[in-house]
Amino acid sequence: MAEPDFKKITVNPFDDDIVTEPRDIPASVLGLNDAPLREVVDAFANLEAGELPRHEIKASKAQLIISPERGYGKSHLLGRLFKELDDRATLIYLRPFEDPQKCWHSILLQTAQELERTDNPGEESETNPRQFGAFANGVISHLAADYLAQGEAPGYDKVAEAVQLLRKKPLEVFRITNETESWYAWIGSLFQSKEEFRKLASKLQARIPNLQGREEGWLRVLYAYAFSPQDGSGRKVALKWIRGEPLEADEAEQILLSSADNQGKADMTASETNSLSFERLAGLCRLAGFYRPFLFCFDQTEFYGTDADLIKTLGSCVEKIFAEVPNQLTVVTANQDNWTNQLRPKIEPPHQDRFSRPIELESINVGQAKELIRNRLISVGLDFRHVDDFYGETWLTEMFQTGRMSARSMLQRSAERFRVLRGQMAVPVKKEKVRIEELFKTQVNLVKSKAALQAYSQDALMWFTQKLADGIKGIGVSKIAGHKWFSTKWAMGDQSIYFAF
Amino acid sequence: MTDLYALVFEAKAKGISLAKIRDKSKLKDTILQDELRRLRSEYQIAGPFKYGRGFLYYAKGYEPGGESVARSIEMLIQHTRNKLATKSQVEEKIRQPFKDFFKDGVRLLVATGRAVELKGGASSYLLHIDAARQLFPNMAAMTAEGEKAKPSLLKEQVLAAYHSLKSEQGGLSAVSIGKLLNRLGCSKEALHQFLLEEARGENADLHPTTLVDLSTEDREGALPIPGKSESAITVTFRE
Repeated sequence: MAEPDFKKITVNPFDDDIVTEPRDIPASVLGLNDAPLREVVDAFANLEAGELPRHEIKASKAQLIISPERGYGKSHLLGRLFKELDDRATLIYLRPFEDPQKCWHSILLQTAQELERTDNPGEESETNPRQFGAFANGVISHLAADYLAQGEAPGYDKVAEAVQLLRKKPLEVFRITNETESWYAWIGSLFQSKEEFRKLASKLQARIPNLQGREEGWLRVLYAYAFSPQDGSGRKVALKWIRGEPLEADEAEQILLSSADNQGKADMTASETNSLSFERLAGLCRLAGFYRPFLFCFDQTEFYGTDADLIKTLGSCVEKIFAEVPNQLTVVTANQDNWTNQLRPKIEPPHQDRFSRPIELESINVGQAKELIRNRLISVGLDFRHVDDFYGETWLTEMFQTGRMSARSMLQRSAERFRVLRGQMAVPVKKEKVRIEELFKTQVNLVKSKAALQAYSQDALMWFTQKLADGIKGIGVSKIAGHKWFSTKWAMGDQSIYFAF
Repeated sequence: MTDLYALVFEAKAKGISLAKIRDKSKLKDTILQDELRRLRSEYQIAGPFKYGRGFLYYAKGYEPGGESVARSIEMLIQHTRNKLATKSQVEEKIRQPFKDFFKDGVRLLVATGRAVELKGGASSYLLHIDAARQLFPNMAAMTAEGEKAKPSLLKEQVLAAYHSLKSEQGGLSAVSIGKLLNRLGCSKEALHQFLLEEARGENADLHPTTLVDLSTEDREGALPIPGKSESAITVTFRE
């Protein structure tokens, strides 16, 4: 067998040691962090008690996942959780909010973006719907089953079979459109008839009495999304309503939404926006009793840093969602140092009780390290028979002579060894100068390669603006004469650039 | 659902009866039994231990056994100086269901060199090594050399300090090496050497950090790890 030629491999397979997107994680290794994963999955399973549609099920405490240090796999664990729960949950990944006054608005906007993600990686298709599509179909299908089961179709002699079909295959029934059977058309006809629509709304109210009189509004929005083609305008209007934005008159008319249900206003205060956002989130979760529960994951909490207002708000969000929102499980990840020294001390004591006892992440052992290294090397085309050469006679065992370590630490040392085996200097004697334009291009390419990173984030823009305002000469936030809003202004000589958000 | 582990953990060494768990958790019997079984299988709690007419559950580390009773005995005899207590006097102060493990606790203390049994007439007395050191100050210098040959002595102390710090931080496992050092009052070299050996023996995990804004205590305890650029700031002992 020929000697392995690491020089032929152009990509260092160990350089990718940070998870930026939980739906795109590298393969896990046997046993590592299985116990913490199992614990969260078990907590989620409590929400699945009984047959659909379910009564409201109260949430367990927010599952607190603690990493002893950076690099033990918090985001990777969330990725595994997403894979494990797959189509059992509506999965919502949340990055930190920046404005404590509008925390729910931020959570809602991110939720709306996450609802637009497909159930599985890849393009939207009949068998791989967007999360909100599956959700809307699921709710409508079970409601149609209620309609039939409660005798609203006299003379129809296959009620029992139809109810069973609608409940067991809520997504598939929408695709049955043969000559003798078109559930799509029949359900559509119920929504078109004023009388039947009211019956559906009253059945929804009977199942979920806490929608605050918005049953008809929710039904119009779910129908608009479920019955619109991909990228159809009905979907856009539905999502606009979910986000709490005011609908234009023609948009409301398009989905037959009453003006009373079009609550969003252009001049809402921060408090009104926040309140409406929470109402929408709570509504989604209550409706989840018809289909699948929600999983909310608050990740990257280290970015709350030492900002007491943000941390306090995070605590109150966890408290409120625990106390008032059913059919959901909240997960919060944190590094131990951040949790004990920054987050926990600033969270109100009664709110601290809404977090579970810490679920701690594990270190990687030598066997798991071998598996991870092997997977990464094979993924870039190394012949599996040469993997042992990478471990070397002593390299791997020596690395573990001082005990286990974080997965990231192990990957970083493997990346270093890979560079050495490729004949590169372990540490460059003199760092090569890289132009800022090239660094910028690299970052742009990284973002382009991951669709999730391209989604608009109000919080990211706010963070960016604050950083700019803190550190760059000529940057300031000011009110423009004659307008109600503030803008970030970058004054450079005789030019000014305004940032709008 | 009620966090059963938190319920049991709060009771610490007092333990908590099944009736009280049922009462506080308000869980149905089948769910309660399943959850207790799960916590037991994950070694998070121990029990049931018969006590009176009922049964008690304990968070792991607090359950009756040689180790926990040895710690209780140590608390009672550590600072007696020349007023030695008889074994039966000490035993009287240990409550059930821990009392059943009294002999095991004494055996463990003697075996690990933390106490000796002294005979006087019909009675047996217990003398703790710290009490002996207080009586014979010169003994400290002699034992400093002896400690190298008896790593188990240091291990008991380190583990006791580790568990106490872990408990103070709400059960989080990664404990600051600097805090451990201050709690033990031993030399940094001895503690570092000990922790490295425990990590090599797969009994402990050392966690290097990239943080720069460390507290003085954390910085002082930092343990340089051969072959790694960052020092370990915290340690986790495996259960």
